[in-house]
Amino acid sequence: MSKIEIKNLYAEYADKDGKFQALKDVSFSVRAGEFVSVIGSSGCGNSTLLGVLQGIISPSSGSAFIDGRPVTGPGTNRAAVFQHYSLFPWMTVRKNIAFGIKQAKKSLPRNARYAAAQVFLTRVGLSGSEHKYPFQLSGGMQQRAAIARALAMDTDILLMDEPFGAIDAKNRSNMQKLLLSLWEGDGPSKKKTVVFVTHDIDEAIFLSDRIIMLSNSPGQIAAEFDVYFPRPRIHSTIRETGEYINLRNKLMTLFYDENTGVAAAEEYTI
Amino acid sequence: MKRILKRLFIVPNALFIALLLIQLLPDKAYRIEDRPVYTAALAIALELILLAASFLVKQDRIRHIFTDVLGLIFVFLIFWVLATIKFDLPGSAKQAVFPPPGAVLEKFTLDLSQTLVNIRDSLALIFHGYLLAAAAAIPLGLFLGWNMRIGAAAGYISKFLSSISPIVYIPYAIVLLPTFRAASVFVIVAASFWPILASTMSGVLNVEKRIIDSAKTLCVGGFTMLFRIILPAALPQIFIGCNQGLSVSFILLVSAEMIGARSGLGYYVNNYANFGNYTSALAGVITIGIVVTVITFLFNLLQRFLLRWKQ
Repeated sequence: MSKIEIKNLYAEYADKDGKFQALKDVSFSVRAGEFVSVIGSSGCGNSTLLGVLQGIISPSSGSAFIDGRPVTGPGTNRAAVFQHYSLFPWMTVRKNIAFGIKQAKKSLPRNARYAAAQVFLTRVGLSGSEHKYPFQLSGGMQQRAAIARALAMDTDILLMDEPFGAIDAKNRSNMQKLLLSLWEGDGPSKKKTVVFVTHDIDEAIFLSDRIIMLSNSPGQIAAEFDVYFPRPRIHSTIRETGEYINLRNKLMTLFYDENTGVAAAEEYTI
Repeated sequence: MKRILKRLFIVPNALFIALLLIQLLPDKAYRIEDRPVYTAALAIALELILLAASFLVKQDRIRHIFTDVLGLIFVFLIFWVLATIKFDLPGSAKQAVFPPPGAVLEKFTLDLSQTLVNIRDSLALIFHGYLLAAAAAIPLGLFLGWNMRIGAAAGYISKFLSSISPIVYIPYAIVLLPTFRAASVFVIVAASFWPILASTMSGVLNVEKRIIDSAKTLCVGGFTMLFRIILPAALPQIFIGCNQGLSVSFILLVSAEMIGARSGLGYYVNNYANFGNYTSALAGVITIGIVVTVITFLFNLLQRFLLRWKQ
């Protein structure tokens, strides 16, 4: 059974020009322990898709299932990382993480929560900054803390909405490596299922087992690609391979084709 | 050496000397006797603070606050002395209402022990009313702001009610409430309640949606959402209303203490003004000003501490 199953999902918003269709007939599934990226240009429904999985957006029709049960609201089996404001600005970094742990595991005593928070802060390289407030950290450090909170909540599923979208190129590459090392660090049986929204093609290839490309308004699945590079991956090595260049070109063509739709995508689908 | 001279040759110091020198001008025939010694003593005390600040405060910004504020006080005192006892600008018929600063300062000194009691009683009244208002307005504002539909309706009603001066309620408060004291507290509550409620509601409505989404994904709900997420997120705006409420409370202190009070700063001012003793009344007004300044300063410290997570 797949961990996440999305069936015929439609999402519509009323905006000032009438109706805006964010998602149209989106169906796919994600296996347990799989890392899936969803690529699409901004505003093409990828955040809506993630919102449905997080349980904070209700679809117009269709539904999402986790472990075979329909998603009706947020749950402690999922943790989220956003591009901005994942952390609460009035809590110190450690308090933010301890708060996340408290929400996920109500029974854990206070001391244990803070000790666990410290462990995860160290893992993302933030020990020494535990008493700082988010505004005192750089964007990259804030996202490290947000990832630490998501991991500390010890959920099966990690939902990430352009988590590195506001970070400069160099730090971004470091964050990608950090995320992969943390994710791969869990043994095969405990590996988290990740759905990762991005509009950076290289990021998607480097991180994912599978890439789902959404087309522009309405957001439909344009194509799906499996990414076979063995793990642990080293960016500089895989970047030179023919498969990488080939896959990247296919994704680029789809991404920059303004009329990208299912019909145009069919010839690329592997 | 050059630095010392640079710190000495500043306008406020010149104003201090001017303030002392003008005392030497001949007095007009004035209905209220001046006590120039008191003015001079105050001027010297202020000047000592000024000198200490000029040489001890390293940070430019804070030193400038000291020198500028004290300079403005000197300007005000110079104008006051000249306008009253030296040139008699009000005209002899109105002199009884415009005491010179020396006379006011003398009253201030003579009544100091009474003034301390007044300050205590007025602060007790204000905090009693203000804390009741905040304790009611903040939770209510959180609830109304969070439940948008009822909040929108409540917004209009509170706009209407907040436009009515609490002074209008005084007769009703006296009739309905058991004691005069309760009626006085009610005036303060009615004054500070609306600004705190309005700012809390708008604070809740303006909470960044992404923060709420982030909280929702952590399965935050109910009381935790309201008090651990919405309240701190809205706190910067809530403080704007709390500041307004505090100012309005002090403005209405005189009205609140008209109701059966036997002490307090508002009572003191009111009492002497009624008997035409404007020298004492003015001493009371200045005391209120000083108390408001100190309380506002302390309140700002509290605000800075509670909002230390803001950039």
